Amino acid sequence: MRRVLFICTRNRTRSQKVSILGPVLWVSMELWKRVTDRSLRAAPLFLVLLLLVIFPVSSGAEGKEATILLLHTNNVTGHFFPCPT
Amino acid sequence: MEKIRKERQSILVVDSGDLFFDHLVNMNPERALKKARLIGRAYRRMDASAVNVGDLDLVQGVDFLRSEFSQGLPLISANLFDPSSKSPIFPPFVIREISGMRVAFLGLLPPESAPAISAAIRKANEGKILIRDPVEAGRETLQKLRGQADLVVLLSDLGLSSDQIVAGTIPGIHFILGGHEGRLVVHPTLQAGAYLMQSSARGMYVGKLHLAVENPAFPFEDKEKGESIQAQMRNIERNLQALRGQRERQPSKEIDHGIELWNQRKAKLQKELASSASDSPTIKRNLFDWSLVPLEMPLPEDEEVRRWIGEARINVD
Repeated sequence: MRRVLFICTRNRTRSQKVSILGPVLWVSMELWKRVTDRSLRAAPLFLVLLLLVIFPVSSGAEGKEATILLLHTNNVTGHFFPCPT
Repeated sequence: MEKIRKERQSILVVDSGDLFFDHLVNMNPERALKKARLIGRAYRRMDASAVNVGDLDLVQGVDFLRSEFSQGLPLISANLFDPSSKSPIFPPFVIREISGMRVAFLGLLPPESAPAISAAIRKANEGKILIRDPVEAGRETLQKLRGQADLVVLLSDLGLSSDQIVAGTIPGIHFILGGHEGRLVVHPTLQAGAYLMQSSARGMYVGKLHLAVENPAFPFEDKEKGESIQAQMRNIERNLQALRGQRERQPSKEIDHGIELWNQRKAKLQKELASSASDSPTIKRNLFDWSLVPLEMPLPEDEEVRRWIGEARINVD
């Protein structure tokens, strides 16, 4: 499985990797179906739903805090040597 | 600066004006211009994001500033106009994208009628500049900015009392980084939704404004709000004590009025303190932290800038 993914992704651009993601997933699912029981096939969906409940996806800026630092001067009035403070 | 830049990526360097010259420029204009060019070069080296034009920056004429601008110094002014074309000489504002936020900086300087626009400034810029009313020009600029920026910062050379008027009459400004008087503002004041601060003078301090923005639509709150209010109240108490002592020695209506005003201010702050203590932690807000960093002698100097100063043969201010 790892080998298939490695062969498909090496030396490819990001867009090429995205375009090959579908076939890779399809092949993975086919392999997985062959080795697992029919009753376990809903397990990935359940897992995804569970993760969404635990880590809800938040939208835009609300979900992520942006930190910005502003450095400010005023009235330097032509002084560039450190002044005793 | 380099040390801070290595620690963090999201830094913007700004100046509120009166950067290049002081009142004594006419004593040795050639030397003053040499120093001013070095300062412009150093601010370009620091990759300054916005530099507002102050009244003193016009002492040697606007052509000096035009030359600095053409060399890449990001000068801004929303109320400095070309009298012939009736258009702004420098961009009224700049927008910088940082940490996924669009931060707008606009700049204002005192109007032509202000005492700050001295006879020397008028003479050096005769027929070359028109300084519009800052409130009017600021309001127009804010309208142009609508929808283009997440945060609005005014770089002001108007002085504190005018900054308060601007904050009260032009909604939508988050921070006013001021100057003109060169005050040492340890605790920012809140005026009609905008926080006002200044960073001393003569390069003695650098103001550090750290913003933690969850959503630009939420109001900002000072991380040190409680401490800030208490410090302001201690100052008021000191003033009240002095005025009471003065009243005992020589009573007057003016002193009574002064005491009344300080008491009103104290009551307002007490109310603010009580409401901040009862604020629910679930209220959504952005936080900021303001501090002044002294630029002391032991700080390592930039070797490149030191070399420029040496080449210019300038040893003292």
